[in-house]
Amino acid sequence: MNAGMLRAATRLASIGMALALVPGAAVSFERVSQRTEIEYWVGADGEEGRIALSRVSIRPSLRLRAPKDWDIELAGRLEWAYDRTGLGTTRSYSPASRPLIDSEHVRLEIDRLIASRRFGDNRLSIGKQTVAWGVLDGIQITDRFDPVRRRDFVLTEVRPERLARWGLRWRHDGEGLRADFAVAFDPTVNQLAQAGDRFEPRAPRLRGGLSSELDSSSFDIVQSARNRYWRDATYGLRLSHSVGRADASVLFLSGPDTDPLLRPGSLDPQRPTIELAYPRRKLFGATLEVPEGSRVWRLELAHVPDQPMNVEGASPLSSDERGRTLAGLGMDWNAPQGWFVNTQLAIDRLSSGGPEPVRPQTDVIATIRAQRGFLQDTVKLRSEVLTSLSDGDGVVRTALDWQFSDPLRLSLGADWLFGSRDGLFGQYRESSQVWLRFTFVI
Amino acid sequence: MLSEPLNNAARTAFQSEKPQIAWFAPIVLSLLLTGTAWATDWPENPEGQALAERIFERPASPGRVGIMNFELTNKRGRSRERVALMAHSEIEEATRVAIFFTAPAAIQNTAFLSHEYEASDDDSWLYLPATERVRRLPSAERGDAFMGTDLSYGDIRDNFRFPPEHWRFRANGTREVDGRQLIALEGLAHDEKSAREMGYGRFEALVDETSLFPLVIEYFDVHDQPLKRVTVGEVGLIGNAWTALRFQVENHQSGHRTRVFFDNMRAVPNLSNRVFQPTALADGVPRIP
Repeated sequence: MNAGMLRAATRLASIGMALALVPGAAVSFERVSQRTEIEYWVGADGEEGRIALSRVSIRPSLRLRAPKDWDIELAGRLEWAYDRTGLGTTRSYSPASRPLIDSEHVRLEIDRLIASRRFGDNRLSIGKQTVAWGVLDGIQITDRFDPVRRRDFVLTEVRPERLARWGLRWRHDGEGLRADFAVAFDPTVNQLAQAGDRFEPRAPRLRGGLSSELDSSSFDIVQSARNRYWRDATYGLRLSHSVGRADASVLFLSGPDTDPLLRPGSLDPQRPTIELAYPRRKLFGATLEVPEGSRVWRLELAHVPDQPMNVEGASPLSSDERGRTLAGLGMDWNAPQGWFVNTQLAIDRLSSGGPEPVRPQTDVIATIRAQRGFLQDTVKLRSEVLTSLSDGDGVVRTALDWQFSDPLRLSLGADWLFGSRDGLFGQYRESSQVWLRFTFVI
Repeated sequence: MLSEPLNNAARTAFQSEKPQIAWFAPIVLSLLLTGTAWATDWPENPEGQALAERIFERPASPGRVGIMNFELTNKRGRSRERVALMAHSEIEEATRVAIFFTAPAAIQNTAFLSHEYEASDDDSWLYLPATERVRRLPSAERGDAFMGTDLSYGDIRDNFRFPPEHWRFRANGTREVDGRQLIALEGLAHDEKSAREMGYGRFEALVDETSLFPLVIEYFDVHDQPLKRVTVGEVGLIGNAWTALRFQVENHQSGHRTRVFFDNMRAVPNLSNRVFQPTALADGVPRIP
């Protein structure tokens, strides 16, 4: 299937979605749920110039019951932004997943388009969908099937922000062994901040070892081809089983890495080019979730035998493959006085030997989050700290949500980033922000 | 079906008990001050014990489904509404409840599932559409508020019963409410630990003998202050089990109120196990024949 055909198919699907979203068009379907979320998110940091963050998002979604036990889910996303944060890259999308409207300030994307049907204990889903694996929050140990949006770094309400891809999924939900097989024939890999935007990667560890002093305007960045639907497909299988009251799973996945590997492109000294490549890698993982009274313990382990990465070498942007082992432990706690506390620790270690990687041999990330509802949960206070113990940097985030009425929620928050400019969080220390979000859902 | 709002009548009935409350207060206070025992002078009686046992053993429903409507009202009188499909099953020693929210739009497709066991901690899961993942929840304390309502997790779990492992009982005659004779049943938490766990130190209830349903329950907190009044407005026979179809919970201390009523409640004896599987939460409102 060539890219032109896929684009045409995508547009046809979007027309179908638009028709279905018009009430009354779906006469032969039963509407299960329908909602439209309208959000305005505005933020300020210490920088002068254009406002740091000013984004309007309109996200309609619809669930329908179709004849013959089929279920249809549709969701779209229209975004407008005029700020220094931007809407992120789309060249890292496959042509089939590219936004229907794709300009610097306006985007229209299909978020989900899924047809699914249950056959006894099995469920088949076909279309543009996500595959959320893993049991930890926002820390991706085994949860690496989906590409994610990184245009806002990690300063989003929900982490990770998944990108749906075209593919199919089969789930078997029997009483004993549960199986979940997914394949995405869609080489979309991520959404990064555009060059020059607030959350453009600056730390050398995320720039193939290039210094943060090197201005990204002095070279061109190109994405590797993202139109090899079969060769760059992602596939994976997860098997789960209950062990007493605990839940355990093992999984395997293979597909293009969702973090870029930087490679030298054109050698033109006047205008050098850097290619963002996404070589394939495999991941073997396991998860365990154990309830223990007012706590739930979560454990994840993963091993990537062939992790592509940039290394220090004779020439810039050298690369190599390494073994990579990730482990994470988390705990949810229903604390006294209505507080909910979540704490997590993750270790990401590369095998030793060979050239020095541009990132640390071992990354250690810790997170702690506390939240509580007041006044029949109409007011919620949440606060979290995400920190890299290896880089000595992090972010402190606090937010207050006020559910003013059923449709309207107001949120006020602050994100304070600290640490060295070369660190995972510290690279954005000038982007600490206060923000306000209005969310209206009908 | 049983008769209509008992709220005012119940208030009157309980007011006649005031001298007893006043008699109780110094004892509770002294126990709290000394902290040595939990109301040791509270005389239980076999009639109360027998009635509580009959209530506890009220026939359970193997499966029922209905549209659950919540109305949450704050102390300023401002109301919010929630609508959900509720599936409920009590088989052997497990009670399973699945709640799929359908309105308002802000919480559409949010789903909650709990498996409650007599012999061990509960299991519960929550699906939030934004996270796209079914999340296992830590066991809630019995006294914790259930999803922002004035009901506690214990209220949901007990389903208008009084577990004997938490309470001692005594019957205290009958009261005439709305032209009907209701049996007064009182309960005292076994000990302070039980009371703190439930959030209730004692209760006074008026029980309908036909349905074995407490139509009014006054709960008192661990300091013996009035905490909540639960008023059951309508009880129906669903399958072979009496079920509350309309009830209200008023929190005297916060001034909040939660009204709950069910539409289209029906017995579904062969309710599929699939409805109560955690992975089903992400699939949205289930098809139930």
